[in-house]
Amino acid sequence: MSRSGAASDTATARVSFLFATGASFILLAAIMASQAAAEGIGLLVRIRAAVLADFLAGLPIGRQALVSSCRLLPLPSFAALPFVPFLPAHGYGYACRYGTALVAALNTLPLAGLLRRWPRMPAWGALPAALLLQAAGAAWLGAAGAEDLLACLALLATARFLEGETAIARRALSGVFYGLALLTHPAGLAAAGLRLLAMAARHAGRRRAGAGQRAVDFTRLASVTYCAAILLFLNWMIMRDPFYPLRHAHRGIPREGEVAPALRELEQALDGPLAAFMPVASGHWSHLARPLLAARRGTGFIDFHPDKLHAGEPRSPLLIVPRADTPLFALADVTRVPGALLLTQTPRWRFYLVPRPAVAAGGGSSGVLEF
Amino acid sequence: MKPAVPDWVVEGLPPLNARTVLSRGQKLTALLLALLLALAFAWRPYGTFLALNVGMIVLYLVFSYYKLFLQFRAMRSPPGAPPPAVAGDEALPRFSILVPLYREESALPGLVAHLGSLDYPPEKLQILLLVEEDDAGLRAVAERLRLAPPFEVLVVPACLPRTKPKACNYGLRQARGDLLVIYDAEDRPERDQLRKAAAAFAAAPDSVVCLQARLNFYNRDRNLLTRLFTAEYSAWFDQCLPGLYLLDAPIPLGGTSNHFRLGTLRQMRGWDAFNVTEDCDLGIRLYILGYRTGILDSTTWEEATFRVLPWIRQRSRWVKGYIQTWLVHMRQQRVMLRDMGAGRTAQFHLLFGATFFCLLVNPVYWLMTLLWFTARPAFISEFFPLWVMLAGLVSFIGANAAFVLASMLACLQRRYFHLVPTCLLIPGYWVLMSLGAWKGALQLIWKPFFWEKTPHEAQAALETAP
Repeated sequence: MSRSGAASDTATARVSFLFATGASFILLAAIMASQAAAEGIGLLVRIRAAVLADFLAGLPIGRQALVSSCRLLPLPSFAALPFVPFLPAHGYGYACRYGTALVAALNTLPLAGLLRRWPRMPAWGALPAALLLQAAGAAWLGAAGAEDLLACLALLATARFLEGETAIARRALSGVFYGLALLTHPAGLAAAGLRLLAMAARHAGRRRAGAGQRAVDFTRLASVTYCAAILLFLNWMIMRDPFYPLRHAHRGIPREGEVAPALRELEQALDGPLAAFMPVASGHWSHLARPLLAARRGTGFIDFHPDKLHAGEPRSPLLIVPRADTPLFALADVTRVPGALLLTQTPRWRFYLVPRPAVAAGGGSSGVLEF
Repeated sequence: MKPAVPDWVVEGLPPLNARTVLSRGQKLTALLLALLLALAFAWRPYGTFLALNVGMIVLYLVFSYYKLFLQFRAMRSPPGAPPPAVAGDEALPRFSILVPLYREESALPGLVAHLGSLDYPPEKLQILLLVEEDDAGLRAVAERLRLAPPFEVLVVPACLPRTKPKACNYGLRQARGDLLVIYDAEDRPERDQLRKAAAAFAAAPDSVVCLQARLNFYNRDRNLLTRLFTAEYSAWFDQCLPGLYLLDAPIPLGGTSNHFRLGTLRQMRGWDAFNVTEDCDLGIRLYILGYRTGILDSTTWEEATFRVLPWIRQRSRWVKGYIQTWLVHMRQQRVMLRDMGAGRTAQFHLLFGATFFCLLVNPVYWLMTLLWFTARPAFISEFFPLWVMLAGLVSFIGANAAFVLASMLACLQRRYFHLVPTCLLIPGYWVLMSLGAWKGALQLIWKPFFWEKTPHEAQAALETAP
């Protein structure tokens, strides 16, 4: 191919690429923004937004919340960061939505490539079909408050697309996208795990897998393992337990309608006989109760320990734990607190009196190191 | 006192050359910058360090993105169909091969055998073995071999600087071909490489005056170092250089297997005899003058340095040469901006300036990372506010992993499947690279033109070359 011919092809490809990417971005952002305007921001996005605000404020709870949940995996929060400078702190929910839209939009072209491999798909139809799928996904999942699932599916689509490529290096690259999906949504975790199992089964079934296939699988395995290791490493560094997210992995997520009644009940309890105590929340649910806690000069943690409390607080700490049969329990940290005594309970909550902080002098707060 | 350099060397130098390490203007600029930095540290030590830290992390991110972009760009565009072969041997251009040699007696017989077996009409070939005047051992071996045309032994006068480009320039004066190529003593080019080069030149526009063949190693499985070296070479020659070509960016030539149109090379006065990576410098000079370098889809097999100390010495020379090249062309910033444009000038700075600078600074950041994970001293947290920490984390977790992955992909593309797992150890190789960089940078001060000769085993190369 001549240099001018190649340059012209490159220019055409660049224009198509820019057009397709631009169209994807505009469509997704518009759909997500309209969803947000119409129905308010979903539960998970609200938590993510609060986590992001804490994280950017440099609070330990922000760092901890960012990495410590299997349900709220860190990649969508990181994807929101580019939008943060353009938004006020109360608009971080939009940053989170646009973050997931960004991840999804970046994967529109591979999705189109994947659709193009379908024998009945005309060449001209792949990109519109991909845009339509993304838009439908954004509308449906956005309405269901599961934007991160959209980003995860888009990453998995890219992984599948790369797996079907002829160039060996591009096939191997699919592992990166399985790894990123793993850091986005639990579905990605499952998909990456299943993919690794399938690879293992293939090698077990075909003892003499070709050297090329073995090398490709090794590269994929290394990518997925590395992404998983990042999560474990961050948890080891921040939570002091690499497997912390797995503690609550089996629990579901409350529905939007279940949260408000629980918080109303909590508000009533705290304004009644428990008003003299300092309310303390532990777990990701504390981000949902942030205004409620702040109004009562309470505080929230991801994994509460009495030694993390400020020693100068005159009120006795009151640990609030959602009851096991209630929806918010899914977002609670239930690590046993040494010396905690059950004080009272309501249909949805238990209230524990916990010992005062061990450190008394100098206003110091913690005998437990917090990253 | 400056060493005596004969007139023919001085007269052959390009107008901007590395004989002067730092021009007066550069010395003044460096002094001024040092002064400003010292003042800034005295005035606001924390702010100054923070600003330097932010600048460095931004540089890391941009540099990483750029290198990775080059690699992935090349992966996206597989090489096109080869140009049609030149019809008939009589239509083939005359080819001169320059082989600079110094104390490489053991390599000579294998080299002669291999070059003699190249698929090119001998009557169209001129193979100039450039032997140093004071290298009696090599001259004796050459005499014993009773070399006949197309081989010619050319004795290079023993004089300063003792560099390969000086020998090449001497050879250039005697070259009679239409095209010219450089090979090293231990090189084993693919037998049809000259024909491919001739065909590529015939098909290319006149502005393409140089073709860089791909380089790789025949002794890649010798030990861990050679495996990692191979992964690096595969990424550089199979991905980064084609990526540069696809971006129409200046290409730093790679030591050997550079094929030239002889007339243009002569017009450009050949190589800078004082630059220890004269090939990189030439690649940039070509570009500034409006010429282009293409990538030749043919491999020359070399011997990878397999012992750590010689490897560090070789790397120190390369980094020293990169610094020389960067300093030389910094003297013509305006010309570069005018003739190359801002984007390509920025790419030049990334390719040369950022490469050696990052290698030099890496140990500082490794040390800080280690300190942070082990002792968590307060000063590190102070110098890494949240956004800086985030960017640093992306660089540490993301960019480093991406480089490892890119090496794995380069090995896959080369079909060196067994080397893929070895690439996981490449961060250890980066430590050696930084050691070499520091040695080279310091040597630029004390011995700027000293040529760190790389020893070669050269045993059985002929048999082991693929």
